[in-house]
Amino acid sequence: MLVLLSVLAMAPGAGQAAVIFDSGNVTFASTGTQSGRLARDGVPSDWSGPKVFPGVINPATLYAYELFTLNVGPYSFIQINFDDPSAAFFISAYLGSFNPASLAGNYLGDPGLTQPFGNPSFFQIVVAPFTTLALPVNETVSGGGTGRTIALLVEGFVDTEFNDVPESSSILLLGSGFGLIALLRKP
Amino acid sequence: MNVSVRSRLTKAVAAFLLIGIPSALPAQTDNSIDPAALQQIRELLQEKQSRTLAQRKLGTQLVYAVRAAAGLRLTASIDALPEAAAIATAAGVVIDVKAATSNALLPLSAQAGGRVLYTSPRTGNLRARIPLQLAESLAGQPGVQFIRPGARPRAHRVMSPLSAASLLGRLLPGPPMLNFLTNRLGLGFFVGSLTSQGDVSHGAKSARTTYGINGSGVRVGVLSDSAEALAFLIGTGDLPAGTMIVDDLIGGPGSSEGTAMMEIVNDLAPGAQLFFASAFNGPESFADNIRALRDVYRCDIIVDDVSYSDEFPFQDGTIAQAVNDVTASGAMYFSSAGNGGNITSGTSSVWEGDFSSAGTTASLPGYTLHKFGAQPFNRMPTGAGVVDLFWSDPVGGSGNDYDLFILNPAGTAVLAASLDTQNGTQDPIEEVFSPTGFPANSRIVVAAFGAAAPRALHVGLFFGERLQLATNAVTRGHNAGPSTVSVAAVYWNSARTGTRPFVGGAANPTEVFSSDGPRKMFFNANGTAITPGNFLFGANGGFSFIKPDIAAADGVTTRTPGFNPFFGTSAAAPHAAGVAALVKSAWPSRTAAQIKSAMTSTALDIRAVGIDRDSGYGIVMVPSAVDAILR
Repeated sequence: MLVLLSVLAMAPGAGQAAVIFDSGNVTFASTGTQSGRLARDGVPSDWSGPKVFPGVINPATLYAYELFTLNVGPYSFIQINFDDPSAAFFISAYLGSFNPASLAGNYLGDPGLTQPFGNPSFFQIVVAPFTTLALPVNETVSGGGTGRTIALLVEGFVDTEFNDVPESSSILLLGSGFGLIALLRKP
Repeated sequence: MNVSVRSRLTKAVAAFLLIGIPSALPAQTDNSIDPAALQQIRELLQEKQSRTLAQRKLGTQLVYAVRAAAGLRLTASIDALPEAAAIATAAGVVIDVKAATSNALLPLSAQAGGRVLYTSPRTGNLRARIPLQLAESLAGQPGVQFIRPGARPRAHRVMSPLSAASLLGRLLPGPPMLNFLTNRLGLGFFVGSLTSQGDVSHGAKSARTTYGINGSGVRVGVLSDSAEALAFLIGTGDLPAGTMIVDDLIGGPGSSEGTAMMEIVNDLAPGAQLFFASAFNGPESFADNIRALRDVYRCDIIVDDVSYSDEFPFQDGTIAQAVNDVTASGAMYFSSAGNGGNITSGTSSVWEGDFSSAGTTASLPGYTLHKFGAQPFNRMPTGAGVVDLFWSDPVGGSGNDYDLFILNPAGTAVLAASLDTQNGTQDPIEEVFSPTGFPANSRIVVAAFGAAAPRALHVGLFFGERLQLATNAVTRGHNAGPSTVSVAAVYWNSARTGTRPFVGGAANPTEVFSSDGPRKMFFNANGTAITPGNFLFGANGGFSFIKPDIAAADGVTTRTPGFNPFFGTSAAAPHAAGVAALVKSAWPSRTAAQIKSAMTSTALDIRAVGIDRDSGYGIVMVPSAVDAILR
């Protein structure tokens, strides 16, 4: 819920992105390890439809990952921008939670490639409003992520044309949430 | 373009857009050419001098290929140059014929399985695929001025490292699967079309709302390789149903880059009427399609993302002259600056400078080698597919005979060579091509034959591979033509702030691969000298044009399979065209010059302060440009 409230505070108005999450430049901090990593197939997921799971490579190798978890608020069309100046990481998105022992479970999408031409990579996914996303950032070389900087910026929209004004149904749902909060906080 | 028009351009700015800034050089350990290679060069010169009149009208690689096919040894120490022999396949060899008239050539070109691919009704020049054995007899026909291997086109998309995999095709789920998944996610709708992030980056999205404009009434012509995905994209809603293909790729399939470009124009200016024509059917066809888009289909704005390897840097060629024609009749013309790199990022694929004698040697009579800095050769650190040499003689009127050699990395043997004769009526170009790519660190040697006068030189790696000794001034040909609005690329999220309008300054630099300028030209389109008698950089000959003119977004999302993300100046050019379409729709009677002025005068300054060689005037923005046009 705290994440949701931060979304509302940051929504800048029609025609620009609603920033759901902005890590700023942070040093990679391992949350755990996963067996193998996703194959980079060169195909970013986009809003035209779900991406087929790209498969796992090097399943016997342990890679450190850092997990970011957030709620998307009233937005369904999510664009995830990932800045990885050292080109040492790969990001992916999962619905609800991430299981490092099952990289295919809950899989939603990934950018397909690492840091093109020194630019941040991006990919897009479609989820229901108020979905929780798990975004693991894993090393692409075991032990290669230590001390390196990354930045994660997650944007939300209500359609594929980068509109950020919530749909009426989402506003109603949001209003219900506020009502619930008010009831819970009554003495 | 005449000199009076040129004088209106900013000469003061051109003065500080330096030509010939050398990049940082790795240490050199070997400044010499091995005697064995000099011996081979000497023998190749002898072969050149022994050619028949008909053979002198053939490009050198064709001459070598004919000899190899006939089982003839090339020289005493060279059996054959495999790169030349490889230009011909079992299907024949594609040639470009420069001819006074093609009427008599058509039946001859069609002999023995040959096929005429295109004949220009305007010039008489033709492109054909012929059996190699026909080359000499065709060259001997009256009216044939020259036959060279077909110039190679390239579109200016930059392939990301794994794009080969992406080109295998995206796995697009069918509606039942999609509906299942969206329902599972609680989404009671079908996902529609995709939109370029550049729509927001350029302020187009907000301007459409603010000003009530959408490109309506504007006709935009797009030229690229092909448009196979058109029907699919009309079905998804990514392109309007009225999109028209004027001329598609002969002998496809292509990559459908044209639909990716049209998607971008449509995202920014959804009211514009779109037309597509292929630019991949040869330079003459490209030029004629430019004119057709204007003269037949009345396009107000035309945009392309294609270069041909033989486009001249110092004078308008066939394609640039077509651009001159359509802009003279009122159209705006946008083109990708190219992905040949730039000196700012240390990625340049070009060396430009004046011929500098490395002296003559008794072991190489007749030739004077050119000195690149302190050494008589340049290197291609990562190899290259096509190497071009141009010099500052008029097109069709070169009397200074320069030749081009590619040596192996050790400098001990010739891998390829181009020794066409220039004695007053030929083009100032030599080109070599390797179907598999010349090895990394191969050497490039330029030689002046006989009494050739010193000229300004342009040595370039056509597919944008880096040169060891490099300069700025990468963009050339119609992509940098005086009448073209040449477009550099800036990543849409270069500021790392997400999907927001560009802000300019250091936050939005041009891409590392975006070709830089400026473009020095020594001749008017009709071949007259701009500075008669002065054809050298060092003597401040010619005129420097601001190229690229502007910058626009790349790295964006499109729905054309294989073009997500869409990197390269190929993606930037249609963003600029879309901006222009919106500006024109705000005040349709405004002229092309007024629209260009509105765009450039309000552009966001990036890279060096003011007009610069990387981005020209900077990033074009819709709201400020529309404000300017409405004033």
